[in-house]
Amino acid sequence: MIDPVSGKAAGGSNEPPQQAVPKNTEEMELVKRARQGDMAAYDDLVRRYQERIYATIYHMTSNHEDANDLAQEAFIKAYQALKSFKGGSSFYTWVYRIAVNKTINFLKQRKNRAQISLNDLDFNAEHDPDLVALISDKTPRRDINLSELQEKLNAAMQKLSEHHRLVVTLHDVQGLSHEEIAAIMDCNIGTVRSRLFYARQQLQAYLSDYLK
Amino acid sequence: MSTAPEEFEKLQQLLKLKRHEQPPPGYFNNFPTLVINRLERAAEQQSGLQAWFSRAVGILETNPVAAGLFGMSVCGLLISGIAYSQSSGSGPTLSGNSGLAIDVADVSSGSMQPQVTRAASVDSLAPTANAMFATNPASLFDIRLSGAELTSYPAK
Repeated sequence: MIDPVSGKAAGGSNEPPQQAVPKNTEEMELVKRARQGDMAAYDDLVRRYQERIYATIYHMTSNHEDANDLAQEAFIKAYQALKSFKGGSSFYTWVYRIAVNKTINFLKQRKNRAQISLNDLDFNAEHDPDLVALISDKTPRRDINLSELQEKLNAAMQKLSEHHRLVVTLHDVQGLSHEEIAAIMDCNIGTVRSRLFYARQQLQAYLSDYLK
Repeated sequence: MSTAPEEFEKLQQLLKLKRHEQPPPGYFNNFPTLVINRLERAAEQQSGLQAWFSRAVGILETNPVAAGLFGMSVCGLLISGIAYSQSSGSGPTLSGNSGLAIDVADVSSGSMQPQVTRAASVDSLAPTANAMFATNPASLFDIRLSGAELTSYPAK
């Protein structure tokens, strides 16, 4: 089953599955048509990437309304800047970069007045073996339910800096590779690795009660 | 530095919870329509110069090379403007004012004495400084040239 939020297969192994980055002639044809003002072509491009873009922004902001606004603005900005898209990277990476920059700018402006407005967990969460194990057997607070755990996790995520949160979101939640993250964040792979390590350490410390 | 999965296995299990957070049902069905509607509205509102400006800003924001070139050209314009103002500021002083031009010519010819003599004389400087007025002061206020007509007001 494909998780509509992360845009990938839900459940299963601990290692996040790698997303195939679509960079094909069909996509380039859609970009070309959209550049010429074909709204139907752009509609198609939005449909392809809306879930991943929305999910990234949502996991960064922990707020559905903000994610909705920012995702729309990212696609609008991408359309308006479509003429500057040279095709050096895939359209997907390019849109991602726009969305990420927009989100980071937004978060910097919003600092200290973050409002968490979380989406509901889907039905599959209760049947995810990893999550079931986490809240039933080994957690000291066995009475905690998934919703409370979701709040704690999001609160811990919000304590990270924007760049650290972004790396965890892209890698551990959305399953992008280090190379893809480096391309999106416009930094080298070593930086991605070090940020990921630091972010995980921080999260582990914040959530130590729930990870024992 | 190690980023081995086993080191953060529990954390990664917990992070899987975020994959189950979902927007309201049907959200993604309407999303592209919202984007396209906003784009069409924006296209209607924007016209001419405004559209060009926002596109230029968009290019500068998404293209670092273009932004760099733009910054360099602004700096170049600024520097050339300063250089031009400095050179043009000294230009008229040397050649624009006829009285001073004679003085400079005198200095360049090596005959310091006449220049010093003139500078010492206040009478001789006055016409030089007010050359325009000295030549024909009345012409600036010439009624015939300005096209104004004399009007008389009744005395109170």
